[in-house]
Amino acid sequence: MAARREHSKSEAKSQQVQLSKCLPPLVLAWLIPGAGHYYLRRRRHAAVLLVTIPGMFMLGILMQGRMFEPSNSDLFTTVMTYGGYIADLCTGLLYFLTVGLGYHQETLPGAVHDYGTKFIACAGLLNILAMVDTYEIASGKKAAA
Amino acid sequence: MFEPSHLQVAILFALFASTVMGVVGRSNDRDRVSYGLYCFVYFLGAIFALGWLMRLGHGW
Repeated sequence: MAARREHSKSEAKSQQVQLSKCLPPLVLAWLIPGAGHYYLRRRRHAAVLLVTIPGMFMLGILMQGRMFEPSNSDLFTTVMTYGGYIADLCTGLLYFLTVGLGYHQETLPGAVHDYGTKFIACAGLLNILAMVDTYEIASGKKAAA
Repeated sequence: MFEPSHLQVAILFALFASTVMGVVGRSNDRDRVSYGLYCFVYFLGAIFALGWLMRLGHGW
């Protein structure tokens, strides 16, 4: 009984250590695409991510894409707008800076604006992939390159 | 404003997505490059295949 308690105590401690090791690169990876990899000394990967993810976001803005805003109406709209909003949020500082500087786009006719909206959301989804990779590197689940 | 065609947008999307997938998807550089190229080629293949499917589906 005492041994089991000791084991669960040491497990909880190792989980805490794991969390404190993984959290800083994860937050950095969310805020600035590629920063998590840079923190973990994967500089070349960080540079590639820093070019591609913000590049995709910028192209979305250049195409006058729209940022998703959560709205509660029918199920499809709710899922679409909340999903898009979460994807937009995953671009981190890019999203906060863009919205903070007053970027707001109404729904416009034409396909190009819609491509822009999808580019912005996909930049967020690609950043989620980068965050997952950062977590795997930080936690030692992914072998060093 | 940047106004690319549908094909240009699709190719740009394939380029960005396959680059990121290549970087995060494998654990050594050689595999990363080949996986990135593999994804890019499959993206392009899907673009052309679905494009032709829609074209044929709507009739000549």
